[in-house]
Amino acid sequence: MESMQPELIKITEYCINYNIEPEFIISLEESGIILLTLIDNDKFIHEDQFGEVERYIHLHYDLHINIEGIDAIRHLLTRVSDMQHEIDRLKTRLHLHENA
Amino acid sequence: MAFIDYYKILGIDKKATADEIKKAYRKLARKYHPDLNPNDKEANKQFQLINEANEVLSDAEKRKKYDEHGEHWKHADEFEKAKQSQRTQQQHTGQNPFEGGGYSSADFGGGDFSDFFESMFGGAGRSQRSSTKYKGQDYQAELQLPLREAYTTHKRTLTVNGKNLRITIPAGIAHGQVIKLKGQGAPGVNGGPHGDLYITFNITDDPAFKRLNDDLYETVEIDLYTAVLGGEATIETLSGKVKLKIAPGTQNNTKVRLKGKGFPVYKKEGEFGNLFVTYTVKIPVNLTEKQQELFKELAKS
Repeated sequence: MESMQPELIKITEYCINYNIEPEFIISLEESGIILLTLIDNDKFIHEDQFGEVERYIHLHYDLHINIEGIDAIRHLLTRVSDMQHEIDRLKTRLHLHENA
Repeated sequence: MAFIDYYKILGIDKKATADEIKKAYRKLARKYHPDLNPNDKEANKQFQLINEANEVLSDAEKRKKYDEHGEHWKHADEFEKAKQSQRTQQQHTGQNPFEGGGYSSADFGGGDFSDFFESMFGGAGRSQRSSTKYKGQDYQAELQLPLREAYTTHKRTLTVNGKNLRITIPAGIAHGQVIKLKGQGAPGVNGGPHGDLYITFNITDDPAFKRLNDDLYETVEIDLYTAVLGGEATIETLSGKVKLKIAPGTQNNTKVRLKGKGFPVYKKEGEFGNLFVTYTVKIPVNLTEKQQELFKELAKS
């Protein structure tokens, strides 16, 4: 629909919009939690990561969880998601044998 | 409209200090925050409630009003007016993207407050939490689709926040599958991109066919004589009727595979799964004397 949307945004600009410190985004990158794009000494966030970064902003600024906690949560959420998929698969299989 | 005990929701005493309220809220927020409970509607509901409780109890003025009215709170006129103004506001913010029957939507952003809250504090009561944002809010929606409709690629028109949206649903979509429509969520702020629309498909059961991935399963009843002597059976498939040869001596629960008569493979045109047909042999009942005699003869033979 709208095509004029930016694909990359400078982290300084991003941080002004969210009212957060750029150091937070840098620490996310340093901990290997997100990937930033470097162009002419400026760091950018790709649009694909907006949702994920916003989640980390909530965890940090609303729930006061530090970077290490965010990293641990990230791994656990991946496992929860994998397990949810497995449960869905098993449910579908089980369904096949119900009321047969 | 039921009274909501905000103290109970936060698990605190009516005399709780501002600090105790903050602590209780943060503890519960860590448990129910939507970012820690993805796709969990119950947790999201709970989160909305604790947010609402915090909104009221952490604001001295609102807390006073709430304490004064308490359980004896009634539908006062001023509240009704406030409610109406809130409704008008909601039309603009639009938390629920889908309108009309057949769809249900759930917003995991934690934005909706209860009717009780809206009536007591109205539209002006809600304070702006984290008002500076960039990317627009994502919308989550669920779409129910009967199994037979998921069999073919077809178009559907959905109403999202008053705008019609025509989408193509590819054949073979799976139950629980999520389709992301980029940029169809809420508008962004400060030049940020639109949010996205996530549609989760809920494929409803079919009376005749069960589906596992790309395969279909069907049970077909055959009579005893066809099972013993062999013959033919006409069965229903999703691509029309098919005549099957039944081998003499077919046992009960025999399974046959019809290649390519299953479900279409998602986004792979011309590829289909298999259809597994299970035969159940119908044993004759209410036999006449003559028939009983014949069976007895068979038994002795």
